[in-house]
Amino acid sequence: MRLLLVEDEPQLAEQLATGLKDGGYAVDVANNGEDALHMGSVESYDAVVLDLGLPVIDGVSVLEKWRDEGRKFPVLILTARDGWSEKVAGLDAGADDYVTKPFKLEEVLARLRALIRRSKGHSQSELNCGPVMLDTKTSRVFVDGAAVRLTAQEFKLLSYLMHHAEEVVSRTELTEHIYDQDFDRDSNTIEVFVNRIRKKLNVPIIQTVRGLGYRLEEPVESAE
Amino acid sequence: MQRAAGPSSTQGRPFWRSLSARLFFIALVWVALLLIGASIIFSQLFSDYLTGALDDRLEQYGQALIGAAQIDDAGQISFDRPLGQQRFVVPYSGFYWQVGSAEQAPLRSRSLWDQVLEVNYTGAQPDVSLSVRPGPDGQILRVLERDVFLPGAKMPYRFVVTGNLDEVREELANFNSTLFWAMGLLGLGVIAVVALQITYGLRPLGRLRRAVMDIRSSKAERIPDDLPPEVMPLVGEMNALLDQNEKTVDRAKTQAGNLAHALKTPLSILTNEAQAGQASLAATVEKQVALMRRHIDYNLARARAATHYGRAHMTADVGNAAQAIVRVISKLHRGCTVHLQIDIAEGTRVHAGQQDLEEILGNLIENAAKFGAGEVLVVLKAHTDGAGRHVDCLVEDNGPGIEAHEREEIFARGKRLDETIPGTGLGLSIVTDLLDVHGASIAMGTSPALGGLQVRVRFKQA
Repeated sequence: MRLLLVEDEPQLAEQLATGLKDGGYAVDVANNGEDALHMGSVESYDAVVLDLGLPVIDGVSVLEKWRDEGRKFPVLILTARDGWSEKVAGLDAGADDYVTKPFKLEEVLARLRALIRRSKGHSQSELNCGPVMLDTKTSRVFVDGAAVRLTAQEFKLLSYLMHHAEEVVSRTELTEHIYDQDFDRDSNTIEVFVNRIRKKLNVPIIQTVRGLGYRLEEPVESAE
Repeated sequence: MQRAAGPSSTQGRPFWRSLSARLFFIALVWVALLLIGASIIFSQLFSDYLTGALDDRLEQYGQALIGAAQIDDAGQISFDRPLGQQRFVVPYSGFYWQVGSAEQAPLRSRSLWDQVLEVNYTGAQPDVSLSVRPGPDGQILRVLERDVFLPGAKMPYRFVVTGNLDEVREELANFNSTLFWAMGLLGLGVIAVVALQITYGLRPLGRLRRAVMDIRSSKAERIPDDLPPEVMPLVGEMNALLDQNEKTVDRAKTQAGNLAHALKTPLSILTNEAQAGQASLAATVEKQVALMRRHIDYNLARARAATHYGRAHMTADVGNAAQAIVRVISKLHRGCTVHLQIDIAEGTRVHAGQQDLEEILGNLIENAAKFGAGEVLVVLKAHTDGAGRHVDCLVEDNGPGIEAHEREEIFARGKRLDETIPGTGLGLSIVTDLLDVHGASIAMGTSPALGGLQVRVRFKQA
């Protein structure tokens, strides 16, 4: 999953970015409202972590402009202001959740997972496709109850496909949502990861849609 | 929850230092001096009038006496007709005449009876002399003397006519007595009018005091400008002072808020850094950061509430506020279903600022979402009693509720009955502070609809 992190305090931004990457996300960072507005308007993100107290343009204004433009990604607000009036203003502006400072990184990760799941139509933390179960909380994968070890990149790719089950996901989309902006991307890498995942799972849930990309769907035997 | 009224302005201060006493005392002294001075003048004038009238009568009697006097063939003075005044006949009437010379024994009025006036017939005498002398029987006499050369006389004869000064003095005394009572009554009347004038004239100060009391009790924001022109400069300065105070408080609140908010980001950094560090250090830092955060949250809320003292005239639409909070709670607590039932007219306002109202409802409804079992009911309904019109906001949940003996404890700062659920324990403490500002009340019970806790907040309807 690809996130946009908007935080103007450099040390906190670095801490959060590191924590989010460790949590399996590809993270882009903006440190002011103007850059955040541009990045959120042109890039495709699975979620945004937005600090309200930003220079140039404040967080609520950025959020309102995104929603006016039809950007529907879930937004988690980070702010020091915890009054209910501020919460009302932020959530009415289009935010989906609210975390006040000081916060624990685990709380931010848990709320992000929930937001992304709900935005894709999943209400539970465990995503299932046939015998395959991906636990978003523990970042583990099971096939018929048995744990399967995946690398970080393999897990990110499988997680993205399971969040978009039954949808055709292009290689480009996978590339954009799995890798950081500055990562040296190669579309062949996606094919390599997909093949490795297929081998490890040993369940035909990832289908290749020629010329379009991949689609995750339940195996025919399981559907029957 | 009303604040007690301030101390009376007259406590501990002697009455004589009051404006009323000063004005009254000055008026009293001035009126007394005027009336006493007028009395003295009137009395003296009347005395002069009486004495002058007596002198005129004596002069007339003297002229009549001289006109009746003649020198007979023997060279002796005699009178060809009586004086005609009865008072010169009545013995010891005080009205006497006596005519004599150095060589002739004096002729006397019958009123002198057996008394003779002591007269120095040989002494030099101005044309007419008036004097006061003792007379017979202890009388005080007004004496008019004149030397007259009668036709045929070889020497001047001294004509002496007297009047009874005691009568004049008695008449003057009667006049003075009447004057005293009249002036006294006049003085009382004037003082009474002055007292009324002072009371009426100082009434605007009482209105001013009531206006300031209204500001202190949050019934008003400014002193009204319909006071007399003499007081308006003071009113203008007081309103300017209120404006200045308000700005100072707002600045302090903003600064406190900015400081608190500025601390929160470093606290976030510390927290995250601690989590990545040694376990024992992490635990210590986390614990201290949590403590600092509670201090910040509590003092920030107190600063916010403190600025609203004196501004409890603010009102807000309670329906809109409840809907906003329910929207937020529904988003933040997706596992909880929040029902909002509004049984009041649209646009109903209560005595509470918008922010405070959202803070109160936010804390209560979030508590219900946290500690309930997934269902929350919020009801707004009207309530009227002897104290006036109110709006009741009922927040109910289907949780385990709170035992009666624990209901008071939870309002204590930082007190949390369930430590397993995240929170600082400051929410209800902040709620009660804000309710106190706006004269609202809170009560707890059992929800008849959901079986859990019911919290009722009663706001005054605007």
